Amino acid sequence: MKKQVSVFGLHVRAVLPRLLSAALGLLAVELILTGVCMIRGTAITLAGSDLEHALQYPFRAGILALQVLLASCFGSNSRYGYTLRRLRVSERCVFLWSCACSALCYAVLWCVQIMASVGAAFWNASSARYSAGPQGVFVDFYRSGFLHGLFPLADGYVWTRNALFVLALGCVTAYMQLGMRRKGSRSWLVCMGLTLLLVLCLPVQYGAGRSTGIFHAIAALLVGLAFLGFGLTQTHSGKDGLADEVD
Amino acid sequence: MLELKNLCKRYGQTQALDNVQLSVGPGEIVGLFGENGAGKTTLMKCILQLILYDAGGITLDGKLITRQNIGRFSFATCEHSFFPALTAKAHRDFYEEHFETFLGRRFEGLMDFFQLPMDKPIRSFSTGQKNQFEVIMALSQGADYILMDEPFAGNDIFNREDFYKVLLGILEPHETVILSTHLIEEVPGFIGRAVLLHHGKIVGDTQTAELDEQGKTLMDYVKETYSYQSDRVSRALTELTGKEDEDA
Repeated sequence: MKKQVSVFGLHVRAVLPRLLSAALGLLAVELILTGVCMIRGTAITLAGSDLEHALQYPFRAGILALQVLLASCFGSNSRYGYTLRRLRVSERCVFLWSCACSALCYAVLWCVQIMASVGAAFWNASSARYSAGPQGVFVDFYRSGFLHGLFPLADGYVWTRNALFVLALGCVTAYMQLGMRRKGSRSWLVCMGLTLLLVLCLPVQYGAGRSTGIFHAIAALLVGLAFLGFGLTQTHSGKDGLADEVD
Repeated sequence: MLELKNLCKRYGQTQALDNVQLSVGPGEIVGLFGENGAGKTTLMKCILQLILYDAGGITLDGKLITRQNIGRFSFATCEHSFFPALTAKAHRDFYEEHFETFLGRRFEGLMDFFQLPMDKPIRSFSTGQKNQFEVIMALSQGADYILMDEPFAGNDIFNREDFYKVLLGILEPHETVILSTHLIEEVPGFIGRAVLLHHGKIVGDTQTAELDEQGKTLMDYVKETYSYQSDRVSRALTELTGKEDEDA
C-alpha cells in the first residue's frame, strides 16, 4: 500500500504547482473582470448579467487550461514511463492513480470557482443600490443557469452530474498523460474536443436537473468510462511480467 | 546471472535482434558496441521488458523477468527516464519508497561530486547535468544490473572521464554494468568485456584482458571484427574528386 500511496504522491507533487497556477490565474482573471463589471454598474440579479459572463467564461477556459497543464505535469523530453515500468506497482495502477489525482484537481478548481462566485455575488449584493441581500445571493444560485450548474444547492441530480463531470475529466486527462508518456499519441484533439463539449454543458437551469442534468450525467459517464477503458486496455496489468509495445 | 537465449526481435522488415545468445554474470562490466541500428538499444529494452521480443527468452538467475524482479535492473538512457518537472529531492524520495535497495549515501555523494542542485526541477538542468542525473539515479537505485544506453551523449570529455573513474571507484563487486556506447577509445580501462553487435547478431565477445595478452587494443579488435577497410576514405575521396588523396 505504501508504494501505491507513493505513486499517488508522485502525481500530487507534479500537479500541485500547476493546479495552484491554474487556480490563482482563474481567480486573478475573475477578480479583474468582476471589478470591471462592478465599475460599469451592479446588477440586481446575476442571472443574465455581465457579471455572470465574467465568471462563466474564465471558468470554462480554466478547465481547459488545467487539462493541458495536468496532461504535461511530469514534463516533456523524457521517457519517464521507463521508470514507471520498473516499479512493483503496475502501469494500470499508475493510470488509475493518475485518474484519481486529476479528478481531485478538477474538484479543487470547481471549489475555487464556487468560492469566487459566492464572493462575487456577495460583492455585487453589497454594492448594489437595490439588493435583496444574502437572500438574493441564495436566489442567484437558482436563477442563474451557470451558478446553479456550478453549485446546485439542494438539486441532487445536478450534484450527481457534477461529480460525474469531474470524474470524466479526470479519466480524459489521465489518458492524455498516458499519451504523453507513450509519445506519438494523437488523441489530444479528441480529448480536448470532448472536454470542450462537457464544459459547454456546464449551465443547467433550476428544474431541469431531472431532464438535462441526467442527460449530461449519462454523457459524462460514457466519456469517463470510454477513456477509463482505453487507458486500462492500453496499460499493462503486471500479472505476467510481459511488456506492452511502447516503441 | 542474466541469460539471453535465442533472442529475436523484428521491426517490420528489419531484423533488429537475430538469435542473440548472451550470459552476463555478477560483477562484470560489459561494453556493448555496434554501429547505429546494430540492435544495442533494442537489446537493452528487451532485457528491461520495455518492448516485446518475438522469440527466445531472457532470465535472471533462472527466472523470467517480471514485476517481482524488474527492480534488480536500473536503466540510464540518453532519452532520459527521470521526471523533468520534479526535483532531485523528489526523485530520491520516490526511489527510496519503491526500491528497498536504494543507496542514499551514494546518491548524496554523487550529487555533491557533480554539484547538482537538489531543489531545482530537473528540466532546468543543462544537457550535461541531465545526463549526470540520469546516471546517478541508475547507480543509486541499488540494482544488481545497471544498463546504460549512450548515457554520456552530450557530456564533455572531462565529464566522461570523471564518470568512468567514479564508477570504477564506487561499484560493489556484485554490481554488473552493461554499457552501450560509441566512444570505444574511452572505455578500455573501464570495461572488462566487449560484446560486438552487427545487424542484430553478436559478432564478437571477448574479455579485455585477453586482448591485452594478445597485444591488441579494443579498437583493433572492433576494426578487425567488423572487417573495417581503412583505405575506404581515400578510395571514396578519389572517386568523388577524381584525384588521389595526398594524405592517403
